[in-house]
Formats: sequence, C-alpha cells, structure tokens
Amino acid sequence: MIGTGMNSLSTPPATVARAARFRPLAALVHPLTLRAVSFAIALLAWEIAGRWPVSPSFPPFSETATAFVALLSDGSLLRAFGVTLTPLAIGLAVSGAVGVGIGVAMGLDERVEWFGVPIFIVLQAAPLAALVPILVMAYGIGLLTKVSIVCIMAMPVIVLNSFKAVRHAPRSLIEMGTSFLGTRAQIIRKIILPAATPVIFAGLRLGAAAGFVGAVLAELLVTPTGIGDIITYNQSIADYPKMYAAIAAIIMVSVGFIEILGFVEQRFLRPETRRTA
Amino acid sequence: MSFMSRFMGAIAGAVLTVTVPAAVAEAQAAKVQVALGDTVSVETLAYIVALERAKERGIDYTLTSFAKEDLAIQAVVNGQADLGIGTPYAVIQKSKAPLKGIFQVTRLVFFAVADKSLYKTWKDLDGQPFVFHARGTGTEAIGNILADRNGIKFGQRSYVAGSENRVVAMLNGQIKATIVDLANKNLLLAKSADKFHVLPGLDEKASDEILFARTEWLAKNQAAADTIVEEFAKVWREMAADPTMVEKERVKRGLLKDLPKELLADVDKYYRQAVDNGVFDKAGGSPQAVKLDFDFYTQAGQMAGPAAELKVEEFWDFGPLERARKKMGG
Repeated sequence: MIGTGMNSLSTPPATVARAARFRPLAALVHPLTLRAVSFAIALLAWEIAGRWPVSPSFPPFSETATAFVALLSDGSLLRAFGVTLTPLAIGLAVSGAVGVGIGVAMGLDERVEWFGVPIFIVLQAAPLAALVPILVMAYGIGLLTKVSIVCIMAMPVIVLNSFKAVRHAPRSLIEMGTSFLGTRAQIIRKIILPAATPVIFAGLRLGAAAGFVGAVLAELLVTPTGIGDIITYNQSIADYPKMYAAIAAIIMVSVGFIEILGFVEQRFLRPETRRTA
Repeated sequence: MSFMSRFMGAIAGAVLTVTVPAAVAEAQAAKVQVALGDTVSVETLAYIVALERAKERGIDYTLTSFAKEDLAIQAVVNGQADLGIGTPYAVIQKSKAPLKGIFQVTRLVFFAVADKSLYKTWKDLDGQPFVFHARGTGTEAIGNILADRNGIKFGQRSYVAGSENRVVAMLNGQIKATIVDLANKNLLLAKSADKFHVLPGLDEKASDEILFARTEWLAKNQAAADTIVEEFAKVWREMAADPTMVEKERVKRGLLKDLPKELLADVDKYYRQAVDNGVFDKAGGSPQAVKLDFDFYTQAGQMAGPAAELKVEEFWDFGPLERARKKMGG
C-alpha cells in the first residue's frame, strides 16, 4: 500500500499533461489506465484462486464483493469504522504532532538526538504483538491501550524520518543562510524545514500505514471491537466472504488515507510544485 | 581445499538438502497428525490418554496444540493435519469443507454465575449487562436460550475471552453476571461463595469439542480412524465408571510431566466433577446428539437454519464409532 502512495508521487506532472490530450495510444499507457489494469489483474487472480479453490475457506472476489455490499448496506461496516477509527485518529494525531516535534528537535540538537534516538530505535524494532499483553496489564482493555498500540506502531517511523530529514538538510544552503546573517529561527523556518518537508511527509505516510496495522492488531489482540470484531466474529461463524470483505475494507481506507496524505503533500508542501502551482 | 573436494562437498550438500526433508516428510506422513484447538492441560489429558493407547496399537501420532480453534480446523481443512479436535459445524456448512465428525469428545457444560446481592433470579437480569466469551460463541448461545426461556432480554452485552479472565473480573467486582466453565465456576465459589451463586442452567448439552477428519483421509485410513475412535470410546467408558483412571494412566505413562504439581493435584477432582456434570458422554455421540447440536448452533448463529432441515450424515460419519461399539460390545 505504501508502494501505491509512492507511485502517485513519482508520476511526473509532464506525463499527466501529455496524456490529457487524449491520444488513443497515450491513453493506453495513461497512469490511470495502467492502475486500473493492475487492479483488474489482481482481482481476476483473486477470483480464479477463489473458484479453483485454493482452500474451501478462501472465497472468490465476487462473493467477497457481495458480502462487502451487504455489510455496507446494513450499516455494520460504517458503525465498525466509527469504532476502529477513534483510537486510530487519536493515535495518529498524537504521533504526528509529537513525533514530528521530537524528530525535528532531535535533528536540530545533538543532545536531544542522543537522548531520544535509542528509545525510538528500540520501539521500532520491538515486536508489537509481544508487547500487547504488557500494555493490557498496564492500561486494561480500554481506549488508552488501543491508542498506545497505534502510537507505538506509528511514532518511531515518524520521529526517525523527521530526524533524518532535518539532519540531512543541504549544508551549503544553511551555510549560505549563515553568511547572509540569517538568524537561527530564520534558517530553521526558511531553509531546514522546507528542505525537510518531503521526507517528513514520507515518514507521516509510513507512520499512518503502520498506525492502521496497529489499530487492527489492537482489535484482534485486545478486545474484538469495530473492524476487528467483524473479522473475528465472521471467522468464528465461518462466514469467510464477510471476513475478507472487512479486511479489504480496512485496506481500502488505509490506502485512501495514505493517498490523500501524498496528495496534500504534493499539492501544498513541495517547494518545487508550490512555486508552479 | 582442492576443487574436487569442494565440488564433492557441494554435491553432498545438495543431495542432503533434497533427501533429508523428503525423508522427514515421509516419516511424518506415517504418523497421524492431530490438531487440537486448545492447550494441552489437565482438561485435555483424557484425549492424550486415548491417543497414547492408540499409539500402543501401532497408530503413531503427532499432536499440535493451537491457540485458536479456527486454526486447528483450518489445519485439517488444508490437509496439514489429519484429525482435528474442535467444533467444525460452521466451516462444514458454510465453506462446504469436506470434514466429518467421528466422536463427541466433550459437551458444553457452562454455568451462569451472578452477584447474589444484585441478581437473585434470572428475572432480575432483565435489561441488565451480561458478559460472554465472544460474539456468536457457545456461552452467548447458552445465555440467549436461557434468557429466552426465562422471558427476559439482556441489556448491554460485553465480551471477555476466557472463563479464567471473567472469574478474575468477577472477583474484582468489574463483572456482575457471566457464564463460565466448570473449573472456573468451582474456583469462583471456592473463593467467594457468600457473594456469588449459580443460576439455573440448561439440562440438554450440545457438543463442545468433537473429533473430526477430512472425508478423503477417512476413506483412505479407515483402520487408523477405527483404532483411534475405539480407544477414545474405551477411555470414555472407563472414565464414566471410574474418573480416577485418567490420573492413573497419566502417572503410568508419564504424561504432562512439565505441568506444575498444583495443577496435577487437581486431575482427579476435575475428572470426577466433569463426569458428574456430563462433560463427557460415554456414548461418544449419536444422531440424536447431533440433532441437538443443530438446534443449539443454529440458535447460536454459528449455523444457518432451520435446524430440522440439516442432515446428520452431511456432518458426521458414525462408521468408526459403530464398528468400535460392535467390537467393544454393549
């Protein structure tokens, strides 16, 4: 899902402009056509694998799609998203704000770096599923545990990316700023942060993807609520099309969210596109 | 090292990597792979005794214990295991998995427990919060049936997996009414009989875990299936006559040696109570028992009804059990 996000970023604006002239041959290699074909092949493979069948418990795409419509029309999917997205939204907001703050601070000051980097490297390497029982013992089975799981998943990526983004801001530009007698605040605001934005956003996108994984893991490992409840319940009553529909739904929302983040970044925050926009 | 010796070494390595896994696979294929959807503990000891006895008669086995029952069922569905112990009704019905039940291992014996000061009878629980194991599971089905019979409706339903966790929550005062298994009902009453009591439950008991296999494996391995089912049936009969036989067999065979002594001290007590409360049916299953399962699991939402239209032969193969009965007599 991260791959798709990167793809949309790497599409040069010139290609889009060329394709917009509606030349039949160009339409075939238009990014949208290629994406649609890629999706169609994956879904066709799913359908064939389901009908073959790979396993009696693996439903084809068509049955999953029907189950998806059923879950959507009886409102249970939307209700479940309401429940799942609450800890996710809180967790991502906290991780985003605090994570970028800490990461930038670590990039700007080596003392903060020495203090903070080990913690986040350990958190990033920790196998989350093994930590969940400890979190449950500490915080019980409520919202706080789920928010913590989202934060543990999302924050290290955001912090470490922000840190590296700031640390790798072009030295020559900073030196130029200094020789033009720019203050520390001016150099940070006008040189370091704009240069760091793309990598900070890459971190946010990766962090958001990890946050989605955390939210679902929390619901599967702590208490089954929201999407996790639809998945475990339908697994227990062997209604596999609904189970896969719920899994597909959370993947779609996750991909959609990451694409939106990518769009926001490209539209508003990239220095090179901002100038032409 | 000369080129030749390195070359020969490489050849030997290649031969080993190809032949060793094949030999291991062959040795495993000879063993019956059993998937247990539960942990190996005092409660599953009787199953091990039956399997060990079948092993003495030449049917060697490997037992794999899964954290979740769904995983054990999937292991059998996908052919990684030959026999499974769990409740595969929903999978058989909904994903048309080619599985058949061959022996009823345990029955659902659960107890509704409540805080005495708040809920004296079922009527007091009308509109009140109630805690179950998980959505759509046996405990919820039992609760639904009991609520129905007592003409009440539960209020807020919540779910805490594991009887042991629900008992801890009851003792801590976080839960006021729930359904727990036999061992945990006893634990709760032993710790705080003045505060909690058991509400009237169900007389008829549906299957909890059944021994099942893939139809294809059953057809090819009738002798192995017959021996295993016969040993299960024998142990279940002996256990009904004398529940202490499980502990005697455990000591004789040195089973569960790594369990703590405190747990092992409870083996006799557990099997006596389990036999008294009807956890193990010495019949090992019957078409009537399967009909009862259909009623129960359609009410639980695990199976799609109506129960009266479900056919026993699509879910069970009584062949091995009938042959075992003939052999054992009676």
